[in-house]
Amino acid sequence: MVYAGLIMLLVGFLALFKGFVEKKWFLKLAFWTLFLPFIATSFGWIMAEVGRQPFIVYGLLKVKDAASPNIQPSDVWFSLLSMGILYAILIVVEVGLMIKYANKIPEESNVQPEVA
Amino acid sequence: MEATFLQILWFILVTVLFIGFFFLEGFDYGVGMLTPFIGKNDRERRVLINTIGPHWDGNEVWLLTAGGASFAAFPHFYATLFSGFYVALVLMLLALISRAVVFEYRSKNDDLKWRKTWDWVFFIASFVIALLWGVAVGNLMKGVELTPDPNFNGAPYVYHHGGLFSLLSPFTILSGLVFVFLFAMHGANFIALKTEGEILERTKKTAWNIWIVALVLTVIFVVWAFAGLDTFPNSASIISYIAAAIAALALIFTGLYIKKDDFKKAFWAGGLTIIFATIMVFAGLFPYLIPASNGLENSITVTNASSSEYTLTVMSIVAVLLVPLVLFYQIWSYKVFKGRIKVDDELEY
Repeated sequence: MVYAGLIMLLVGFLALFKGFVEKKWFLKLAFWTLFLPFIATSFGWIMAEVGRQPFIVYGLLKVKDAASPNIQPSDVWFSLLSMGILYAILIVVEVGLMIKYANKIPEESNVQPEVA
Repeated sequence: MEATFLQILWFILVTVLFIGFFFLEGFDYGVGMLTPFIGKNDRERRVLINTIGPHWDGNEVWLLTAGGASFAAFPHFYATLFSGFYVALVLMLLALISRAVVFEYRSKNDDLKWRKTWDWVFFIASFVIALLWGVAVGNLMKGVELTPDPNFNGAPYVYHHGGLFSLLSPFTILSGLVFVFLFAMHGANFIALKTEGEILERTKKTAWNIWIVALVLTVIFVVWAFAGLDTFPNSASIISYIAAAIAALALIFTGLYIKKDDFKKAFWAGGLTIIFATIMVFAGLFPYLIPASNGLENSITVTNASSSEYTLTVMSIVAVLLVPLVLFYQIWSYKVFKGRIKVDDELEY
C-alpha cells in the first residue's frame, strides 16, 4: 500500500517536468499507475481490518463482545450475499459504461477508428 | 427516571431531523414512485428524474443525520432498532444504493431497454423505501417484543428477536401504505411545480386521485393509532393530538388547493401534513423510543437509551454551529434550480 502511494506520488511529481512527459516510455508507465489507487486503498483497508482482529475497538472491545446477540447467521448471510450480488452487478455495469465511453472518439479529432 | 433537559432537547432534535428527512425525501420518493405513471415516454421520464436530480442527494443527507444523531444521542435506541430490524434495513439499503445509481447511470446509454430497466429500478426502490419507512414507524408506534440481553443485566441492552415478518401486521402495513401515498402526493405536487405542458396536465389529474387515497388511508391510520394502540400516545399526548389535528387540516387544504390548481400552496400544505404527522408520531412516542409490546417496563426510553450528558453537550454545541450552514446551502441549491423543466431542455441526469 505504501509503495503504491509513493509510486503514485513519484510519477505525479515527475509528470510536472517536460523532460518526462514527452517520453513515450514514461507515458506508458503512467498508464499502469491507473490501477494503483485501487490496489492501495484495498490493501490499506485489508491491513486495518485484519490487523485489528480480534478487537473491534483496538485494545478495548473484542468483536465477539460487540456483536448483536439477536442477529441470526441467516440474516448475516442474506446481507452479505445480497450486497455482494448488487455490487457485482454494479461493477459489471460500471466497467461496461467506462469502456463504452473510453472507446468513443471525440468529434473534433481526426482519428480514424481501428478496423476490428 | 426523569428525562434531563438535554435528553428532551435531543429527542426534539432527532424529531426535527426526521421531519426534514420526510419532508424533503418524501417528494423524492414520490417522484420516483410516479415516474412510470406520469412519464409516458423516455424523454418525459427523463424530465421527471431531472426535477429531483440536483436535490436528491442533499435530501438524503437528512436521513444520515437523523440516523447519526440517533446513534450519537441515543445509542441503545440505535443499536436495538438497527439490529432488531436488520433484514428490513438491509432491504432498504439495497434500495437506497440502487436508487442512487439510477440517477447517474440511466441516461448514460441511448439504449431504450437500458433506460426502461433503470426506470423500473427507480420505481421499485422508491416504493420499497417509502413502504419500509412506514412499516418501521408503525412498529415504533405499536411496540415490539423486547427482551433483555442475556449477557448484560437488565435494561438498557434490550433486543428485538423477531425476523422480518414479525414486523408486518395490519397496522404496520397500513402505516407503510400511508407513507407511500403521502409521499406520492407530495411528489406529485412537486412535479406540478417543476414541469410544464402535457406532463403537468397529467400530474394534476394524478395528484387529485392520490390525494383521495392518501386522505382515506391517513384518517384510518390516525384513528387506529390513537384509539387502537395501547403503547400510543404516551406522556406528550396533548402535543400529539394537536399535531394530528393540524396535519388533518393541512391534508384537507392540500386537496382543496389541488382542486383549485394552486400547486404552490398544495405543495406546502402537503408538506405541512407530513411535518405535523411526524410530530404527531414522535410526540406520541415520548418518552419511549421503542415501546415494548411485552410490557412497557422493558421499553427503550429517552433516559435508558441516551448518551452521557457530556456527549449531549458537545453534540449541542456542534449542531448549533454547523446546522445553520447546512440549511443555508441547501436552501440556496433550491433557489438556484428554481425553474420549470421543459421537455426539450438539455438534461443533466
